[in-house]
Amino acid sequence: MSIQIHRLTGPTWNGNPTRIDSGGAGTTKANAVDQHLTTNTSPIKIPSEELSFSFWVTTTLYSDGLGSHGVVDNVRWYGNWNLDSMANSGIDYQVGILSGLDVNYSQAIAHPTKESSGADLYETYGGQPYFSNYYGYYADTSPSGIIASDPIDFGSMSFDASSEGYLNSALIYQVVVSGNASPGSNTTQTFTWQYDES
Amino acid sequence: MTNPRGYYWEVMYQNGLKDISVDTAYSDIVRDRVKRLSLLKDGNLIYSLPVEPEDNFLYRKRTTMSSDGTSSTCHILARLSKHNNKIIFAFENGDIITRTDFDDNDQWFYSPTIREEEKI
Repeated sequence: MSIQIHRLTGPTWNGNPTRIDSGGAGTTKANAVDQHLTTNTSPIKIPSEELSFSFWVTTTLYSDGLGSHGVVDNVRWYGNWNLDSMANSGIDYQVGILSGLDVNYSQAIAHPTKESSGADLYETYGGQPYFSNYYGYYADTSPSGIIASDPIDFGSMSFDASSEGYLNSALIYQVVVSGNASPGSNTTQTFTWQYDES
Repeated sequence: MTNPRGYYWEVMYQNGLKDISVDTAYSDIVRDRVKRLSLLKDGNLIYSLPVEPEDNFLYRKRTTMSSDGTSSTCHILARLSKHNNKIIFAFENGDIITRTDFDDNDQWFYSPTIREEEKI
């Protein structure tokens, strides 16, 4: 069996995926590079004004085709982040479901002007045309917000698990840092995929 | 004959023949002839659900998989009837929960995507 969580990095969506579930390279950290890292290297800089961003993190489901079930559907995604403790911390997230991964994947890149900051996911990606669902900065404004309490539902999205391949959607998130944040390491982001097989 | 390893579903048809998920696709089940849907592990029966001719049924393997390496799985066996649903959530930690309906507000008991051939 054979459904795995992959983080997609690099210039093409199938160029350098890293397995980051229990059989892979471990929990990934959002930071200021487009790499799967589990350490606190490449931190995001707390801005003196406006916002800084992590490089966005793209994750999706992969099947190696070796399972006994043919279809994966009813896909959901949860962030296990403690938004209550994050409220007014200066740390936010923005999250989107990217549709059409095979044609719409875009590599996470640096902010064009800010030091140690990724580009703004929403602005750089082009916003709604690519995101079937988009959730803006909500940690500060909605401490019991959708990530912690409700799943992000991929709707009717499904894929054939009897052959090797990816779900053709991805969950993309990035950490957003304001000047109110305190220096130090934040809790590692843990997220959960949930799905049905038959 | 060696029993398959791990969890798998089995359907028994009205003529006594069986299919199992190890060698039969779920979509290839001859649904109108099924009289029993079962879940087994390593050849041992976990739960068996009778299916009447006027009923329909479904099976799903529901998994949560987290980036911290943890995962949980439950197997859903449901007999869908106009008057008498029976839905089994058999978790791989040994817990078995029986319900009469799905609950879309629950993290585990929400409805699967019901396919056309599974509708009553």
